[in-house]
Amino acid sequence: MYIEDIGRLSFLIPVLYFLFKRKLNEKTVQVIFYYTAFYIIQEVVYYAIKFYYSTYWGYVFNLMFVPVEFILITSFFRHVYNSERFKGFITIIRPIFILFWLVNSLISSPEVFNSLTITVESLIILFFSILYFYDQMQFPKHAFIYTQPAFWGVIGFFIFTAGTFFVFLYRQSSSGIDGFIDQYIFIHVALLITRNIFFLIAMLIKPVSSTIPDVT
Amino acid sequence: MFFLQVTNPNNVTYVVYFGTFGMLLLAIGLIVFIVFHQRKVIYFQLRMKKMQEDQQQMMLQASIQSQEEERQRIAADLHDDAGPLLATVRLYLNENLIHQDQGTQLQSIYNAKQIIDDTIQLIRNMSHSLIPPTLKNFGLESAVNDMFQKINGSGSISASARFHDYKRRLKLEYELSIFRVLQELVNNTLKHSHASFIHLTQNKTEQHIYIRMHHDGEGMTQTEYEKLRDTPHGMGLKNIHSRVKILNSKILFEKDSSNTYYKVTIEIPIDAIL
Repeated sequence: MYIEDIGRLSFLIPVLYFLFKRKLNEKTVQVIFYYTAFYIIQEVVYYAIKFYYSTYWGYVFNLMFVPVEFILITSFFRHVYNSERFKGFITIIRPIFILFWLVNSLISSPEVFNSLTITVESLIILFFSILYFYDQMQFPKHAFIYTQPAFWGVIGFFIFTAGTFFVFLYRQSSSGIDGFIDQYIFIHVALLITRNIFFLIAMLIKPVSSTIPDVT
Repeated sequence: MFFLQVTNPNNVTYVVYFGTFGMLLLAIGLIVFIVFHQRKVIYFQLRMKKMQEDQQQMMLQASIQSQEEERQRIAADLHDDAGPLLATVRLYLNENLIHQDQGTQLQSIYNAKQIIDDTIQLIRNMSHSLIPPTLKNFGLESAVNDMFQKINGSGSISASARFHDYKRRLKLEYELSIFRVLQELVNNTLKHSHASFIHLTQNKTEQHIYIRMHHDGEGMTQTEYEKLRDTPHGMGLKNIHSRVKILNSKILFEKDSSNTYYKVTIEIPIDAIL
């Protein structure tokens, strides 16, 4: 339980840094901030509903988090792509996923962790992350990719999604197995902290305008 | 999620740990690859840029050097030819001339006039070497024909030109650039190729003017041209390259498919020069 709290508290690091140190001028960093801030609000509201109303409505509220989270993550990727084609790709994927989430949520109970939706979401995020790297190789704008906040934001999403892929995949079917939940919490929290550290790096980095030399 | 139904609980722990580890390894591997690949691409681009800068520097030096050589030649011509001629005129027309008898005076004036005429001719020749009068007055076609006529006069090589579609003249500076390129190509052919003939043709499409020169001697291919051009000694080739570049044109050195002729094609975009 304490480990989970540490994971939740780690969200405060990038949010507080952004609020007190960083100016709101970098689009990608802004989206990361909104995402982490939303995550904190969601946790607080979830526990409030669970405490004052019922656990069931808490789960229902949690379920609503998936499409909002997906929209925020895809907004982040929309800002980091250079190619208009890839941006258009996000516009197509968004309603398809939300429709998939809606159908899947209606046919399953909100009290059960929906591995299928989360796995599909993870696959899409992994795909978008790889697309970002491809985009950077095809249409490079900066000489050194790691001097850009967007890179660290993508790394955060990529590492977290890759690392939690299997625990999310087995969460629904293996919750009853002894030790699985501990294993889930350990991996999830470790990667949550890692992701927030990457988000913090994204906020700490000042974008360097090192452009690619023109050799045409 | 039927395929994920648990059959052996112990397996799940391993699958999750190994799966997570594997996914993380893949993700980190991909990130490292991307970062290193991008750095490699950037170093390559920087190297390319440096090479381009070096080449431009060499071309600039070649251009400055050729200008200097031209100035030195003009200075030498003025100093060695025009200078002594005018000094001789001065001698003929010195102050003592008024003390001479009328016959000597007339002879001196006549001699001075002759030398002044020679000087005028000399300066005219120098001016013609800077810009051929035929090119200035009648255009590229006439200038090329004039040049080839002089070559034919030597009797050692046969030179001919045929302009298929050159009704509208280009601007003088472009014609001069093309003419200088052709002069350099002809000079190189005369000096190095041991050819028995040179033939030049001009054609035009909607977008381009093509000038092709071919000969039956020893020539060079595009690779050899590019290699020689980048050496410190390839002054003439550097000049060709810079003039072609000014015209936004392309030059292609190749061997004929029959392996009998070498040909050089200059492709000049019409938009760039009209």
